[in-house]
Amino acid sequence: MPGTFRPTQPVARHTVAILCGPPPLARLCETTLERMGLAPRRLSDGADAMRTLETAPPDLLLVLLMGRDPAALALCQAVGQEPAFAGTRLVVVQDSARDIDRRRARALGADAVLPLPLDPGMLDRAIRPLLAVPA
Amino acid sequence: MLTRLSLRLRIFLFFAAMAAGAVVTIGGSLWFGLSRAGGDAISAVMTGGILSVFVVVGMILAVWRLFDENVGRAVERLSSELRARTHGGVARDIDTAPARYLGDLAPAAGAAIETLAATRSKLELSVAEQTRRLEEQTAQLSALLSDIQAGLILCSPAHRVVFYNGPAVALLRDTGRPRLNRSIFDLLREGPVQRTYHRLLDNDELDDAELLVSTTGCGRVIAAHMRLVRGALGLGDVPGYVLTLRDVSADLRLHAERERLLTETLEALRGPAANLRALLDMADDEVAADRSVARDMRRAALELTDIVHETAARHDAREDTWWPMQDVRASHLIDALRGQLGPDGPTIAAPTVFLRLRCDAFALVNLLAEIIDRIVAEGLAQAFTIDVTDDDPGALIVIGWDGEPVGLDTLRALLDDPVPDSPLAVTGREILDFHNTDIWPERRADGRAALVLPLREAERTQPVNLVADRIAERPTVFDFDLLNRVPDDTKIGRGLRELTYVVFDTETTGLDPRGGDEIVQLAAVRVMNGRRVQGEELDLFVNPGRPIPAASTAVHGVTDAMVADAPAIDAVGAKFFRYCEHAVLVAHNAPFDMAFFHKHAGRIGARFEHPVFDTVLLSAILFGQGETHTLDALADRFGVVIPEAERHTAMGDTKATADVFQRMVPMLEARGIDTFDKVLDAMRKNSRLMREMQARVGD
Repeated sequence: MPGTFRPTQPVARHTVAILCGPPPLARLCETTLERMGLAPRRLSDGADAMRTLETAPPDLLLVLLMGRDPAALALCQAVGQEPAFAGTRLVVVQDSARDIDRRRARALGADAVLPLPLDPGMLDRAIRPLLAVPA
Repeated sequence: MLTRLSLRLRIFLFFAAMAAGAVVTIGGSLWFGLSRAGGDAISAVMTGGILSVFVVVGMILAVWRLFDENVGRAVERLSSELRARTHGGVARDIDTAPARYLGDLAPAAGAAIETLAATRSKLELSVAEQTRRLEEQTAQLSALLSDIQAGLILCSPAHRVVFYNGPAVALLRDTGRPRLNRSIFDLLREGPVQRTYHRLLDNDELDDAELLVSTTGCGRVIAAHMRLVRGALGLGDVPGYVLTLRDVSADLRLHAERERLLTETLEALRGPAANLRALLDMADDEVAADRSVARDMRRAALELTDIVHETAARHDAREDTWWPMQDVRASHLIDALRGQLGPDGPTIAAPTVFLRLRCDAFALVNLLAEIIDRIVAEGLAQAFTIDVTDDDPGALIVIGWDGEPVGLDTLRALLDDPVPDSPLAVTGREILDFHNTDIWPERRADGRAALVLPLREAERTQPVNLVADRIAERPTVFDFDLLNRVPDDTKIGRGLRELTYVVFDTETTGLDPRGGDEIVQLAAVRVMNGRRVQGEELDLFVNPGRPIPAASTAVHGVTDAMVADAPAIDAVGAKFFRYCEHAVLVAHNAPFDMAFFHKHAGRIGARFEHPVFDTVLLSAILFGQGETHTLDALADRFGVVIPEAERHTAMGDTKATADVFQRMVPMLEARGIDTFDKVLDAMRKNSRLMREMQARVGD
C-alpha cells in the first residue's frame, strides 16, 4: 500500500520539480521523493512550470496528468520535444489506463508513464534509472 | 441392331465376313475338286488351296487395315471434328489430312463448316456487341454493389441464394460461405426467416419487415431487413426476398458489458458507501467516536477507491465501439481527404498504401480536413505529406509538414468543436473516442512536424486500382436464372444444364497416392447454368507433411516454403467437401485426384461419394478411345487456351478442364446423352478405359 514504501538509497544531488495535480496526490509524490532524499519543488501551474524550465530546468519533471489537462499536456510536449529541454527527464503519472493514453504520453516525450493509484515503489523504480542512480 | 455398333467395328465385321466367305469358297472348291481328282493331284491341290486361303485372307486383312485407317478412322475423326465445330463452338478450320482418301468429302465438310462459321460469326458479332454492353452494365452494377457496406442476399421462393455481395460473405464467414443455389437455412436459423417470410406473404399490405436472426454456426446475432421481391427479375407468382444483413452481435455484447459493468459497480459501491457514511456520522458523534472509527473509516475509504480504480481499469480496457465502422482502403481515405480539401486547398503528397483501415471514414476525413485547414490557417504549413503505415494490428496515420508542430492548446480547441457536416454534431474528440484513439503532435526524427493518429484495426491488402479488381476484391455474385428453379437434389433424369458442377484439380508430390504421395495444392470452380461462377473459386495450398520432390516442383512450381504454413489435408479436405455439397464433381483423370480424398476420408471426416464425371472418359465417348485424351490435347481440340504461366497450376488446369467440359456438354446433348444418368451409362460403356485408369491409381 502507499505510505509503506521505504527508499533504498538517497539521490539528493538532483533537482526535481512536480507539476501539481490534486493536492493529496501531489503531497504523496512529494513525500515519496523526499524519502528518496530529493528536494522536490512544487510548481503551481503550467505557466509557473514554463518559467522554471526556462530559467533553471530541473533534472526531472514529474507531471500529474488528470484527464486531458491541456496545461499539463502542453508542458509534456515542450519538455519532450524542445531541444532546449533535452536535459530534463519527464515522468507522467496519469489517471487513464488506456493503451492509447500511455502511447500519447510516450509520444509527447515522457521517459516513464505511471498509472493511478500511484505506487511509491514503482515511482522510485521509474525515477532511479532516469537520474542514473543505482538502486 | 448393327447400327448401334461403331462404324469401324462394322467395317471390321464386313471384312471378317468377306474373309470367312473366301475361306468357305476356297474350302468348298477344294472339296469339289478333290472329290473328282485322284492320285498325286490331291496333295498338289491341297497345298495350292491352303496357300490360296492364306493369300486371300492376308489380302483381305491388308485391305481392311488400309480401309480402317483411311476410311473408317478418317470418317470417325471427321465426324468428331464436325461435331466439335457444330456443337462445341470450336472455330478452327478442319484438319483434312487424315481424310485425304475420302475424295471430296473432307473439303466439302470444310466448306460447310466455313459457311457455318461465317454465319455464326455474323450472329456472334451481333451477340458479342449486346453481351459487351450487358457486361459493362453488369460490371458497373457490381462495382456499385461492391461499395455497399451492408450484407445483401437475394433468395428465391425456395429459399436458395440467388445473389450475394462481399459484405454478406464477411458477415457470415464463421458460419459458412454463401454460395449460389445454397439454402439460406445453411447460414441463418430457419425459424425467424420462415416466420417473417410467411407473415409477409399472408399480409397483402406488407412488403418488408425487420427480424433478428442468429447464424447457424457461431451464434452471431444478425439484424435483418426482409423485403419481398414480387413480379420482378423473372419471378413467377410466389415472390422471393432480399435480406439486408447487419451484424449486431458486437453492439449487443457491448451494451451487455456496459450494463453489467454499471450493475456490478453500483452493487459493489453501495455497501462501502453506506459504511463510510455511517462511520462519518459516528465520527461527528463525540459519544460514539473512538479510535477504531478512524481505522474503520480508512478501511472503508480504501475499499471504495479500490472499486473505483477497478471499474476505471475495466472501462479503460474495453476495445469495442458501438459507432458504425467500415473497412476502407487507406488510398481511398486519402483521395477522399484531397476531395474534401478541394482543388484550391493545400497540397497533399501521399505514397501508395496497401492497407485497409477499420474506421468511420466519413467522420475521419472530415476531422482530418478540419485539422489540416486549421494548420494552414495558423500559418504553420501549406504542403503536407500523409503516411499511413502498418502498426500491427492497426495503422498509423501521420500528417507531416516542414515547420513547427501544432500546439496542443490549438489542437484541443479544435477537437472540442463539432466537426462540420458530421451527423449528430459530434466533436473531433468524440470521433477519436469512438475509434478508441487519440491524436498528438510530434517532431519526427527527420526534423519535420507531424500529427500522429493511430487506428486500432487495419488489414494489409494487395495493390488494386481497377474497377474489375474492386469487384474481385469484394465479389458480388449472382445468377437470376436460379430464381425460378425448383430445388431437387436428386440427379437421375436431370438435364446436364440443370446440374451444379464442381470442377477441380490437384497438384501433388508425385503420381502414387498409395505410395505416400500427397496433395500440395487444390483448386476448384463451380459451374452452374452453363457458366463458371465468378467469385466462388477455391485455390488452396495444402501442407503435405512431407518434402516436395524437386521433379514435382519443376512441374507445378509449388515449393516446400509455399506450403509450410498451409493447413493439412484434413482441414482443406473438409472445406472442399462443404464446397462440393449437392454438386457433381468433374476432373480430368478423376480417379487419380479422388484417390487422395478416399485415402484421407478418415482424417477429413467425410467420404467423397459424389457422382464424378471424368473428362478423359467423356472425351473417349465423344472422340473414340483411339484418340489422345490428355488435357493439352482436349484444350487444343476445343480451342481452349491455357496461359503458359498457368499450365500445370491447379487453378490453370481447373479452368481449362471447366472450359473443356462446358464445350463437351452440347456435344453430348447432340448425341442424345443429355441427362445425368445417360452420361453415367455412357461412361460405364467405356469401362475398359475406366478400369485401366483405376488400376493405375487404385480406388
